[in-house]
Amino acid sequence: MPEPSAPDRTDYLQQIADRLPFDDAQKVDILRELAGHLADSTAHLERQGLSTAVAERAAVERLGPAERLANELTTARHTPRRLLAAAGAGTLAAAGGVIYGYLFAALALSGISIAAFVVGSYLHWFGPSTGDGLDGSTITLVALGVGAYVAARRLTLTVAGRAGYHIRLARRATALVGGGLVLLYALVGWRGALNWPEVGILLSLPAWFVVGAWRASDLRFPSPKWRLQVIGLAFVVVLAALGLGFNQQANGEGSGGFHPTGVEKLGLPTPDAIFAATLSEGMAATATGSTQIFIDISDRSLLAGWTDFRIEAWPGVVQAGMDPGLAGVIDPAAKAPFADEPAYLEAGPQPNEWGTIPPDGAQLSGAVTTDRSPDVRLAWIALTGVGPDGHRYILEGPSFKSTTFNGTALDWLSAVIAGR
Amino acid sequence: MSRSQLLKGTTTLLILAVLSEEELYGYEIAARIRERSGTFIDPGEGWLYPALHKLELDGALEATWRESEIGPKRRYYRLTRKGSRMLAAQASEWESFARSVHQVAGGLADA
Repeated sequence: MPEPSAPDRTDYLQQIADRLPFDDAQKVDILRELAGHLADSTAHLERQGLSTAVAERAAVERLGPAERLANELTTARHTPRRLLAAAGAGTLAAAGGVIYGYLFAALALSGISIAAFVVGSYLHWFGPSTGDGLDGSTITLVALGVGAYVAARRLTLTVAGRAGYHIRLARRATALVGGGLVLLYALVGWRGALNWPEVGILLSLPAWFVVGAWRASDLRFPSPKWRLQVIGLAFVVVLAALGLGFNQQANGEGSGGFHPTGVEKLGLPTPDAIFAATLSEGMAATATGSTQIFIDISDRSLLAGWTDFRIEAWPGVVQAGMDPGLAGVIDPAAKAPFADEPAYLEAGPQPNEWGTIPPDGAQLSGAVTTDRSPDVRLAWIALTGVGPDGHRYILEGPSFKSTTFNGTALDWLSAVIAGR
Repeated sequence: MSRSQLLKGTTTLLILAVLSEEELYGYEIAARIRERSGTFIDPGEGWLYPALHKLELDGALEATWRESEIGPKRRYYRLTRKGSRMLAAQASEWESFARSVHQVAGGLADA
C-alpha cells in the first residue's frame, strides 16, 4: 500500500482547530470526538495489517481534508436557534461591556479631571472658564464611548463564538447592526444640554463601536496595555476640555438698568403713554426651556391699532467677567431674532400678581424658547409690537438670559442646517 | 450517479436507522453502516460528524460523553422522540421513493 500523503493526526487536528470559529469549550469537544474516531479507525486499520504510521495516515485520509471537515462542522452549527442564542448571549455581553467600560472610563476621567484641576489651578494653567473642572456630560459621553468600544468587542467575540462564525464575518454584522443602533441612540436617544464638543463626542459613539467590533480578538479587556491606553486617552480628553473651557459658566438672567448696545435693532423705545399705563411686568423661565414675558396695562385702548405683538429673542455677546445687565451687547452680526413667538392680548378684568387688572386694562403676554440654538449662549428677550404708525416698538425688556442648547444631536444638526 | 451522491440524500436516514437499535458513538455508527451495507456504503467518514452535530442541534439526537469498553471516553449518540418521528417519516418517504425508482428502472440492470 502506498504511503498516504495526509498529515499526521496531531497536525490534522490542529488544522481543524485553527479553522473552527467556536469558543474553546466547543472546540475541545469536537476535537476530542475526532481524536477518538482517529484512534479507533487507526486501531481497526492496524488489525488489518497496516503499520501504525500508515494506519494513522489512512485514518486521517478517510475523514477527508481538514479544511472541508472544519467548514462542514461549522456550517452544521449555523442554525436559526443557535443564531438566536448567540444574539441573546451577545446582547448580555454587550450590556456588561457597556457598564464595565463606562465605569472604568468614568472613574479614570473623573479622577484625572480632579487631579488636573487641582494641579492646573495651582500652576495657573487654565483660564477663568475652567469652573468646577470637567463637565459631567463630557465625562459621561466619553465614558459611553469607551463603553461602546468594549461592548462591541465583547458582542463580536460572543456572537462569533456562539453562532460559529469567524470573527471576520461576525464583526461585519455587529459593526453594521450595532453601529446603526448606536448611531440612532446618538442622534435621538441622548437628550440634554449640549455644546459643540459634546455633540462631536456624541456623534463619534458609532465610530467607537465600529472600531471595537473591528478590533475584536481573543484579547481580554482590560489588559494592562488597554488600561494604559484608556488612562492616556482620559488625560488627553481632560486636558483638552479644561484648556478649551468646555465648562464655561452661565451668566444667569436679569434685566439691569441699562439697555444693551444694539437695542435699536429690536425696535423703538416704549411709548411714554404705554410706559405710564404699565401696572406690572415680568419675565420667568420655565423648566421646558422657554421664557415667559408679560406686561399688564391699565388702559387697553392705548394698544388700539397695534399689531404683530411678539416675544423676540436676540443673541447677545458673552463677555467674560462682565455683567450683561451693566454692559450688555446684542450680537452686532445679528439681523433678526434667533427665536420669536407671538404674544397675546387678553382683556381685563383678570387677576395678576398685585391684584386685579381693571376691566379697561389688559395683559399682553407670550413665551419664547431659547434653548434650541446651538451658537447662542446669551439671549436678550423683549416683548414688541407694531404701532399704528407702522414702526415696531419695544413694549417690555429687553432682559437677558443665559442659555444652553438643550435637545438631541439631531435637534442640534437640524438647528445648524436651519441656521438658528 | 456516484455512491457519494446517493449517500448525500440518505445520510440522516442511515444514522437514525442504526441509532434506533442502540446508543453508539461516531466510529461505531460509521462501522455499523459499513457492515450493514456489506461495505457498499463506505465513502469515508468526513460526512459523519457534521451530520451528527446537525441532528443533535435539531433535537433529533442526544449526546453524552461516556467511558467506552475499549478505551477513552466516547461521545455516545441516541435517538430522541423527535429523532424517532423523523426516522419514521424519512423511512416511509425513502420506501416510496425507492419503490417508484424501481418501478421505472427496476428491470434495466438485467437488460
